[in-house]
Amino acid sequence: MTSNAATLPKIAAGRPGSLRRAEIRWGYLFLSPWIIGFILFTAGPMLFSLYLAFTNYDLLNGNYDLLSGKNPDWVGTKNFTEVLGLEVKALQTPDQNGAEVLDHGFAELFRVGNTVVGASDVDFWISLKVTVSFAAIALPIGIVVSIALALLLNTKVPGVRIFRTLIYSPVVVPSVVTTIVFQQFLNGDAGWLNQALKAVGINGPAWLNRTEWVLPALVIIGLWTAGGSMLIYLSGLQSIPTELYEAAKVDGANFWVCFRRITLPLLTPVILYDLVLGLIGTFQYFVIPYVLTNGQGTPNKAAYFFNMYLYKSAFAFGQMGYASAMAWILLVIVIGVTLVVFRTSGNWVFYQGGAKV
Amino acid sequence: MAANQTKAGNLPSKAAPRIVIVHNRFALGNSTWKFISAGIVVGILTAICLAFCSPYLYLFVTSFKSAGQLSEPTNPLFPSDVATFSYQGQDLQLYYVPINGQKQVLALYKPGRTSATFVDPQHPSAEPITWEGRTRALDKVFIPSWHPENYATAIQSIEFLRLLFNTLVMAIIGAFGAVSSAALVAYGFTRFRIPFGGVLFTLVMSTIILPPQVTIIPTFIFFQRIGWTGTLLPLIIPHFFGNAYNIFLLRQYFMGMPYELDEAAKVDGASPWQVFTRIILPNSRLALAAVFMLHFLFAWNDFYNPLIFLSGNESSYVISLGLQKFLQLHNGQPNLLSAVSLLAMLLPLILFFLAQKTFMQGIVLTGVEK
Repeated sequence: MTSNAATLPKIAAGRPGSLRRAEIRWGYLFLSPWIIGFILFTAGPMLFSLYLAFTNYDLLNGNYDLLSGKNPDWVGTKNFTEVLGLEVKALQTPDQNGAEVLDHGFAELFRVGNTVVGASDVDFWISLKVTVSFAAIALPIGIVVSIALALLLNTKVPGVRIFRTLIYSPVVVPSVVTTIVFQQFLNGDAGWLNQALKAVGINGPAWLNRTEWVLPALVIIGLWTAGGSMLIYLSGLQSIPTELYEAAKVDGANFWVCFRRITLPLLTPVILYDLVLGLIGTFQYFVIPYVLTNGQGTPNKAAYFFNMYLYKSAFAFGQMGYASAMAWILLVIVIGVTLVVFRTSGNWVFYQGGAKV
Repeated sequence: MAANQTKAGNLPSKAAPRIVIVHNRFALGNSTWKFISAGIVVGILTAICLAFCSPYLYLFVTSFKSAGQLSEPTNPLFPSDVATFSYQGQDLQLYYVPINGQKQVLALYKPGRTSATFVDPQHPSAEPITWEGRTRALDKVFIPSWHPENYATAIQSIEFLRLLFNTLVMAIIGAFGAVSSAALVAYGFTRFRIPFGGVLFTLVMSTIILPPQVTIIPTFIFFQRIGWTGTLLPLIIPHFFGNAYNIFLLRQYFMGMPYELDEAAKVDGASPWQVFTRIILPNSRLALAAVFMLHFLFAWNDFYNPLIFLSGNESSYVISLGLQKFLQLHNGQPNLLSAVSLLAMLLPLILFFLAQKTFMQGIVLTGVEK
């Protein structure tokens, strides 16, 4: 105590701002774990991965040592042009083999009449298509179901807390377990879902073996963990001032009018948030389709998601330069989609007090 | 202008249904109406909960079934075997046989296409009964028969205890790192005015939308170079450097704590470190527990990172990875798969049910489930 009393006036008497400088030093000291981690595990790897994207880094064959100068070959933008490469050619007859007209290194992606579109990396475009289609089906359904659940669970009925707990609980189940359960659950013959459908007279499909049903099957699996977004919507609902509903009730508004005019507008910021994170999440969607199809994206690559292809390129084929290029393309897509969503959000997201983000 | 006019023009017609609704309410009686609507909501929620819980029930009953029970399509929900009756050294299957409009339990002695011979287990010495009809259409008599030995088999073949040990080491040490680093950083952000603090915080939050794929390849090369791949270290050490969600959660919490406490401590001569350990940490136990649990569950459930960093070294496998390898080997044995799946989800579920309040508050605070 005495030493403190002695030093305190000294600081105050010293150069102005020495107390302030001590505060800054302490502040940065407390932030240092994150700053070091950011350099080691985010910024550093990002720069390195950008470098790798312009090389032919091969995990399996290359024996590189970057410290002693044994670098992988610099290939310029070759990885990017190969990932994205597309060409359009005319066919002589609509049933001609596409390989006859496409350049070397290109394979047929799809055809419209007499025109064939070829890609230098068909799997990239397939995985992108799978990912985007899944986002287009899964996100809207997920948002609607989560809001509906949140509305039901926001009521004051007896046992509502138990219902909340049970509906949320699948979120903490390991994804691998979820996949194992649903692999059985969605079985075409003995699966419980089809048994239940049969009980009401519907013949359920072989969910996991049919090209057109595997994405809906993944949507069903995703709905099992809708409790995660439900909770966010629930807290959004609970933050809506009750006076608004009371005022509306005095005006004679029914449930539907209240929902359309009060609840939904005030939930739009939460919907935006859920949508953005959902979009980002879909581009990282991996565990469930990977475990479900043993990494193959079966049937017929209908469940071959972008991240599965990226993982395979990097860690199964060892093409780390190529995979890094894909990762950066992914980053550009994610940033682009996020910006578009935010730009258009001004039209449908309602902020209380009129503040716009 | 035009929009305003139409809105104003709509007003009178909107006022009209007002009266109708109020009138309806009165006709039905407010409390009756409330009672009915609550009943409907409870009914819907019960149905939804049954659907949400059916995968649990599936895992539970399947894990106790034998291979034979699983291949028997008429087998009931709960693990059961066909009841048998020992007759002249033979085990005969029991059926419900309708005779003279009454269902009798009889043992099938000689099956046939259009008729069969049955023995009455109550009077085995009596003449066998001949019954006209197709035996395949008859209901079998089932008795419960549970197979807990599936668990022993599964635990042994998946080497569950080793997986459990690895997973606990990874999850607990990682959670400790996640809590301590996030607390330090959140304290730095909330209690110190530093240049570029706002920029740094934006940077922290922007790492949330950064796809991990952009960093995972160089990180893998790095860990491989220093010889950490195949060990648990890449799954533990990075969590000692603060994660955006956790920092955000604790920052929100620390901001809500009164600054008077630390000001008073500072006047008494406490250093910023002492304020942190004696004021901030003891007063935020709940938030710290929430971060610990969120990380524990994330680590327990994570599959992507173990797949990349542990591949090739089975001795360091964690539960999620071991489970996927087990699935590849035992795809045709749903009973064993269900048993290990149930074991793998038991701890996260118990943890969640015990501490759900802390947990859900943490989630709502960050707004994100990992």
